[in-house]
Amino acid sequence: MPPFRRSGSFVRFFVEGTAPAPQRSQSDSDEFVLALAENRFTSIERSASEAVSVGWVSPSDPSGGDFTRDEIAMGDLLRLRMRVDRKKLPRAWMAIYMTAEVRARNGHGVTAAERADIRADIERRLMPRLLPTVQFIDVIWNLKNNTVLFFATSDFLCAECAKLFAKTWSVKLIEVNPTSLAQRSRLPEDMLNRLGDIAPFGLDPGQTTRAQTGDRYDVSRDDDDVIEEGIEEANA
Amino acid sequence: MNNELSFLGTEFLTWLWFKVESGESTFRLDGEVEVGVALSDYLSIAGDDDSTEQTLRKGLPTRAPEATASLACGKRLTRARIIVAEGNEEWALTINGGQLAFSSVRAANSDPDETNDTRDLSRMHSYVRIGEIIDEIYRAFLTERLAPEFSDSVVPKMRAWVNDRQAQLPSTVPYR
Repeated sequence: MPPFRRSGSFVRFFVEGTAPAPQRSQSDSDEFVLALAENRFTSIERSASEAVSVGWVSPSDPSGGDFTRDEIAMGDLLRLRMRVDRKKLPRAWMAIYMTAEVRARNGHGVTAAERADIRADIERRLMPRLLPTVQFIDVIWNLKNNTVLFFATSDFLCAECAKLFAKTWSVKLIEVNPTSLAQRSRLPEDMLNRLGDIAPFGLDPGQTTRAQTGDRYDVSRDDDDVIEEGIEEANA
Repeated sequence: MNNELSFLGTEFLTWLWFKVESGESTFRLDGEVEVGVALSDYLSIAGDDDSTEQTLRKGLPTRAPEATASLACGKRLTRARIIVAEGNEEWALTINGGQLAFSSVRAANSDPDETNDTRDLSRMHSYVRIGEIIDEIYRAFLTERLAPEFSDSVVPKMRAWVNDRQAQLPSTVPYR
């Protein structure tokens, strides 16, 4: 098994819902492992069209779909690995082949419809020869507080991760951000109730923030409204 | 995902900066564990929405006059590289305030005598632990931020901090 990364960037998720925990002993009826296997990665190496494939692979085998409890469950932590393959014809290659095709027809009489046909034909010929790009994303599922660490930060990959969790274990992933973390911060209820009332504060000297005046922050009002109101108050 | 309170993330980083420079860079988490925080060599400062963002790298960006000028304009820390220490463990990571996402997280050095399995497990625990620590410090921030007296007690202190920084700036020399 490859060593777990020494450094990296990650996004965290709260898991809403209950997934079956891996069983303590290896068993054919381990629901957790069976769900992984059902959603294992499937290759698009021979695909003749542009495609994306997302699925689970074993941490020890980049193409493997044999999941064992021993390499996944490490105490309260689960070590998972998501594989994302994308097959997309590089635009430069399309341009090269398209130019050659058009030139072969002396550049005359190539209508938009014909260009679309040529494009489809080029794709059909080139796609089977093209290897997909491959990404492996490490995932840590902390069963103690039901959170997930996902070692990628792009919106596309985060969305694919959420989809894969939903498909595999019917659980929902909620991204950790200042709002979701504040809402789950185990603070007293009277404090949490104030979350809806606060507004950003400013540090420029002499500024009086809406937070300081105790006004409820109204997102429909822009700063110009507030400035105009201040001028009117000063004139009064 | 709905993140209407994203400004809390940039306020959190700015508050952390203020705490560190006010000599309160040690946090007692859960009333027991002590954690130290320092700002490192990367800061990004911006205002709300589409205002210009200023990125400062290398050297001591927290002491840079540009950083003071940005704070004095009402801008907040949007991204920062920080160092966190707990006992013998240490992490370096960049936090994006708006999303509270972590990048370039360097896990604490593992014990060279560890076996492969224990090394992997300690690295995984290390990533989980740094998340817990930041969550706890964010909770400490929220406890202050959501207190009714925040605007009258903490904000004036933070403004005084910015004023002090401005007062320490060298006087400008006319361009010749």
